[in-house]
Amino acid sequence: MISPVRVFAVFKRHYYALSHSLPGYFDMLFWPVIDLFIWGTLTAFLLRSGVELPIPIGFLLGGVLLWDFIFRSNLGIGTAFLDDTSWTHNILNLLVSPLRPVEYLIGVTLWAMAKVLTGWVVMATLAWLLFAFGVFDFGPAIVLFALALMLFGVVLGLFVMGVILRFGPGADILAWGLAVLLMPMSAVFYPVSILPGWAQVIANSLPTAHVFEAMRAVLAGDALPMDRLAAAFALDAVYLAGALAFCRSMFATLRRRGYVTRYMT
Amino acid sequence: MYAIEARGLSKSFRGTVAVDGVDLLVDSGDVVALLGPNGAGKTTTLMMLLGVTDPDEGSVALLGHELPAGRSAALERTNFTASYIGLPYKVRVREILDVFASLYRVDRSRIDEVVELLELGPLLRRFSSELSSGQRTLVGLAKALLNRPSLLVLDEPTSSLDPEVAERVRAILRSAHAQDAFTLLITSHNMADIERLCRRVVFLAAGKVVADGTPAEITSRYGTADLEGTFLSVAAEARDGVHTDPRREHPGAEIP
Repeated sequence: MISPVRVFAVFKRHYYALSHSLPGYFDMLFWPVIDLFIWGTLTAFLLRSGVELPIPIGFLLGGVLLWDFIFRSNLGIGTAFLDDTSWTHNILNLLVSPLRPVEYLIGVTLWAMAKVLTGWVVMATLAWLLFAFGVFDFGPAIVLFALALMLFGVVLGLFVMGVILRFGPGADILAWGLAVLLMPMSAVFYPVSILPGWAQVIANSLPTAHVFEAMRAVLAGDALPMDRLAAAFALDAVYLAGALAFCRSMFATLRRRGYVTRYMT
Repeated sequence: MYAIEARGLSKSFRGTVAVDGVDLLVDSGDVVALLGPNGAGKTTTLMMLLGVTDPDEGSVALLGHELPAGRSAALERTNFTASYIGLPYKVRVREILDVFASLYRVDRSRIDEVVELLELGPLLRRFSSELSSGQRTLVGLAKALLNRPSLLVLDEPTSSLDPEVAERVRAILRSAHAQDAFTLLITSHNMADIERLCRRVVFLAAGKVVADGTPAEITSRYGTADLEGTFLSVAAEARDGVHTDPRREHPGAEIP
């Protein structure tokens, strides 16, 4: 049975670490703000230049704001796990406690979500203040977009966790790189139709591409394409099941092969 | 009831045998040392006992709970610390204890009790990254005592400690054991730890149990003046590939 107290203990452990860490705040807020500033300034430049675009100009800022949900969810889970394993070697304290793997996963996921939402509120506020871009222009769809993208960010975070369990500290780089690897196929800043045929097949198998297609439709004033959202959530469910099975399998490998010794100082 | 009931534990890593058919039965409340030279299989054995590493063969029951099914229930009443475990970085000692109190679902008042027992008051606001190795050992021990464990497992708890802090750790363990009568399984290369704390000693060499008995029985069997001498004899035998089997030499003694 899942213990909410133990889940909250995992959340607290990471909250305490962040609350005393200036670099942690920097990581949570600085990079999203830099992204926003660069893409917002580019949007302003295009607007002033009177460039004619086939899609509404807001797609750049909208893309940046929504991409942050995936990137930060993935990174939040990946770095929380790295903090317990490679960086502090605290993992053995957790493995010998009654904490269940599922409680740990829920705890770090909630922690990552809290960080994502905090950073995102700052980004969205700045987008409004600096570039007059209101996230509520998306309407209630923003909640569905955010949920679908965060779910896929969690999938990527779980995959990173599984790879770290299997391959150890050498796999750390994936925590930062995996989401970026998928960015070209996610059609964040351009329609899926612009991709070559083989890439469109990959894009359509990713929930992210469906969400960004839906975003562009909403920005263009069309009705929310429910088929796109349904596809995104269905793919999220499939990938989530796969990521959980992968994580479980890699944890079993760690126990079978005694990889815990990697985390003994 | 046995606090630890391990039978036929074996583990190999890439064809190298780390633990080879270890039986370990520990009575509730007993204080037992698991000794042996580097590479004898002590830590692998402990990891299998705690359900962190799966044995290739054999079975483990902790406090009456069969592993792996009863792992979570067993670990609620068990605790472990070692010299090689890290602590969360940039987290205050008080916060670390708070997190682990939640993980073990114990009352916050217990934090104050272990802080008093280990005299950690002055360290509570310090970050883990600011602690000396001795202070980190004490915090690890505080974490390990938080849930009033029925079974406490310690791997090299006093390695890298100066003699004064090591004696303090032994005094704390004696005091906590007198209060709570937990079962203690300890590994150490510090024979002073063992002679002052343990009623029973189990020697491992090359993954096998090569001696098992009280410190007096073991030293007498090896014809050595103290456990230090016994340790050196066991290490030499392990190096030369000679292992005595107490079950063969002393049938019926200690290992059922």
